[in-house]
Amino acid sequence: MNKALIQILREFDITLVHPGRPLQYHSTFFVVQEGLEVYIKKRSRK
Amino acid sequence: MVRCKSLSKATWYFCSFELTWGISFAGSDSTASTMQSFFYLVLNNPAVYSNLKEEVDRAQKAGELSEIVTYAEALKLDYFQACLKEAMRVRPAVGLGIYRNVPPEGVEIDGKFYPGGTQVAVNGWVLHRDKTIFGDDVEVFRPERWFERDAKLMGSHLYQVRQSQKKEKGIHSNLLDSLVVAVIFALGVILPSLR
Repeated sequence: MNKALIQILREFDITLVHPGRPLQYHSTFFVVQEGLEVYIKKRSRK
Repeated sequence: MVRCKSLSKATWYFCSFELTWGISFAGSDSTASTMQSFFYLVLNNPAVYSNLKEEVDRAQKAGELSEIVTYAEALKLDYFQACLKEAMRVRPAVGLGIYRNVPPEGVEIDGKFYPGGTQVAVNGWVLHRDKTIFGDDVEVFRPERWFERDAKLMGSHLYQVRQSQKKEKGIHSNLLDSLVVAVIFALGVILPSLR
C-alpha cells in the first residue's frame, strides 16, 4: 500500500467529483466504504 | 471503553469465522478501506494534498524514487507517512474491537478484575479519539500532529491490527492481487468521456 500510494500520487493528479461529500460506509469487522469518486489525470514528468 | 467476554462455544465459532474472514479479506478489504480513507481525507484537504505532492515531487527530483517505488523509499517520505497514519487514526479500517486474551492469572484494568480466560477489547474508533494521547483536535484530519506530539506514543495507540497480523502483513505474498483490488475499490475511476 505504501508503494502504490506513492506511485499513484507521483503519476496522477486526482480531483474529487463530489468535494466534501461524506463517504458511505457500513461497519462489519472491517469498515467497508464506498462513494469515493475521483477524476484522475496523468501528470507530466518534470 | 473496555469490552470483555468469556470464551464460550459460540465464541469459538465466531473466532473461526473471524479467522477465515481475516485470511480471505484481510489483504484486499482493509487495504481498500484504508486507501479510500487516505484519498478521501487528503483530497478534501487541499493544503495537505499540495504538501504531499510537493514531497513526492521533491523526492522524485532528488532521484530518491525508483521507477517502481520501493517500500523503503516510501518509508522515507515523512509527510506521506504522517498522512497515512493520520488517515488510519481518523478512519480505522477495523470497525470492531480486536479481542486479546488477558494473562492466565487475570488482570486488573481500570479498577476492575478480569479472571484468566477472559478476552478484552477496545474499539479503534474510540481509542483513536483519546484526547490525552492525540491532542484536543482529535476529530480533525491533521497530519502535522505526528511531528508536534509524541509520535511513538501515538503510534502505539493506533489500533489497526494485531501484532501477529502486523507480521503477516509484512509478507508480500498476497500483496499484488490485493493491491489491484484495492486500487479499483478505492478509486471510483471515471472515464474522461463520461465527464
